[in-house]
Amino acid sequence: MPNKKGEKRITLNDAVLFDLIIMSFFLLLAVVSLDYNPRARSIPLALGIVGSVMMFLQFLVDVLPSVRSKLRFISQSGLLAGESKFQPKGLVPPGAEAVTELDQAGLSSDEKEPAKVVEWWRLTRVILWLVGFIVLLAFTHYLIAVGAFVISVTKVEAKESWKRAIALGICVNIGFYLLFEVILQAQL
Amino acid sequence: MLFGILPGLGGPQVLALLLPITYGMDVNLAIVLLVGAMSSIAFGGSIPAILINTPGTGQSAATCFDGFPLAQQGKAGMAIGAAATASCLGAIFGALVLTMILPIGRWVVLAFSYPEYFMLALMGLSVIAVVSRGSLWKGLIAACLGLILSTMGYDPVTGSVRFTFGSDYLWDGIRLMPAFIGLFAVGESLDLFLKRGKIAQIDYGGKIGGVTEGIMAVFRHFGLFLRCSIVGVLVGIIPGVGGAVSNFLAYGHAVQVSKDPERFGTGDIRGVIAPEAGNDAKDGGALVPTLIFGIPGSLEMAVFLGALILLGLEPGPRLMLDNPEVVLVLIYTLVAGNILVALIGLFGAGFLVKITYIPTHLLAPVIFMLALMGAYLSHGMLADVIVALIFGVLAFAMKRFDFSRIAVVIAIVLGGLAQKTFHQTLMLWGFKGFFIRPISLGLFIITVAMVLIPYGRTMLLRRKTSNAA
Repeated sequence: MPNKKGEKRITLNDAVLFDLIIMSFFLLLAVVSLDYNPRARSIPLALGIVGSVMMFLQFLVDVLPSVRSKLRFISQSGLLAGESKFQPKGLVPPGAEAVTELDQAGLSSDEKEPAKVVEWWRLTRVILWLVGFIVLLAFTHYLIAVGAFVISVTKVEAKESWKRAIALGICVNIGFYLLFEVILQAQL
Repeated sequence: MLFGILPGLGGPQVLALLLPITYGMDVNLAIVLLVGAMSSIAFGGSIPAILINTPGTGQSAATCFDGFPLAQQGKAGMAIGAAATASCLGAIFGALVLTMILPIGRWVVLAFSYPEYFMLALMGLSVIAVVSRGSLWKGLIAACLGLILSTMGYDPVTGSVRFTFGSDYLWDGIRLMPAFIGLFAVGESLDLFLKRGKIAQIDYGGKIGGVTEGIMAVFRHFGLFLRCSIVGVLVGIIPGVGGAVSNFLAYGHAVQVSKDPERFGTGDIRGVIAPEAGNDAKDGGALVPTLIFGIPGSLEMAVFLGALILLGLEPGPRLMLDNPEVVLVLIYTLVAGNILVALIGLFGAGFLVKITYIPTHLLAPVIFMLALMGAYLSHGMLADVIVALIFGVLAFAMKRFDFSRIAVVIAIVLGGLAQKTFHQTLMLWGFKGFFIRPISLGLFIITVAMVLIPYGRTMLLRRKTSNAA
């Protein structure tokens, strides 16, 4: 809901959810640390309290954009924020900024939300594939798990042809066999 | 070198992936492997910067400014020749400086006790204030997260087992290797996979020639090369500044001292020599705080520091006393690695850059497997793979929401040392122990200054702005 200045009063998005998860983690560890002896709990308890308070302020800024102007120190940049004064506009070193497809696509904030949901859903699917790989790794030989993961992800998620997916899976398996079994002689 | 060529991947990722391979390896061989890979990254990143205007790593970004215009003019070979020579000679210069400075470590060791080690750890942690890109607040939150994670497991000083939640695996705390693999390799691969497309956006045409002319250009501008190497070493020595800054500072220096600065950005070979000399010379400088004080000067060095600890070494003042041969191996490898990678780059750049044309959705699954199998390899434990995956997801989210991953790494690496020496100092001297010893007090003052600088800078800027208004 926008206020008089046109800013949304409350913003609920993925950033807010992330803030809440990390804040809960800090709080959980702070509470659990109360069971330890005074010396053992001193540092984790202090870190847990400080971390959760800092994260709460970050959460406030993310969920209530109007608070940002009152808590300016939260937006204070690191020392190297202005390092790129010799850098021409438009050239951003990789890793310097988290630029996503959504940012590059020039979508409006209203259009970004559904696109973000799609992106997070894709991420969830990839994570599920990786969990599947771990399960396979637990019950089968690692070469089977690696081959199955590469072929399935390439076919299903990357939407490549069966021919290409199987070829990639075989190449990766041969590479892993040479690396782990022949060169490193690892007992896996 | 391959990881240097691939944008988004770099030193931390290759070190994280190589860590499991070093398990059970002779320490010297492991050092050769890790330093060899690390020293190859900077020049590897310059190849796509020159050929396709896409810096492989942040520290090669300034090389684009003149390297790519040279490639557009059909002088890609000249640019690569100059970059390879400047990188190689710059790294040798850095290694020479490192060799001359390291013996100081022997003197430092005698003056250091628990409070000094604690202050060193604190100083290393304060580097987070310097390296945090974007919000410093988020950098500090990430540091808190890393520190609290470092408290997990058995604590020998207090005799307690913390935050294991009934898991035997967590008795040893968070293992550095799967955590690093997750934070860098898995996190980046998730990002690559979701972005789709190809890393390279421009076709370089496949023509590479004029290499000799480029090599000779470095010797024609040897004064510039030498000055930029010094800039690189100095930037490297300052903890937390790193390659991207040395690259830009060296380029900026070349522009500032030039009689014809307007030529920069249009394909001037000096614009390739300067940043390349700077970013490779910084490696020798960056190893100074890492080896002598155990303070990681950059993200790469933070992972390397963790690798040294995993290999059973103790980076810091004692390293020169206990393992002088390791330090020598490290320096020789740094020099040899750079010479070798320069030669490979000169002969194989055209082929290597083709990797950037592989679609990311085909490349990412392979990196996933390399990363997770790497985590599995060291102890053959599935828990390591799960930890790598959890940290990978955390890294992806942190990158997306602009939280610093380097802060987490630095905090995990230094958290244990900080805690241990904190309790030991309190037991021996009480709280005053941190401030009654001159070196400890000096380190504390420097640390406070490092934290306050970003805030001071903002205050000055605000005052200037209000005065101007």
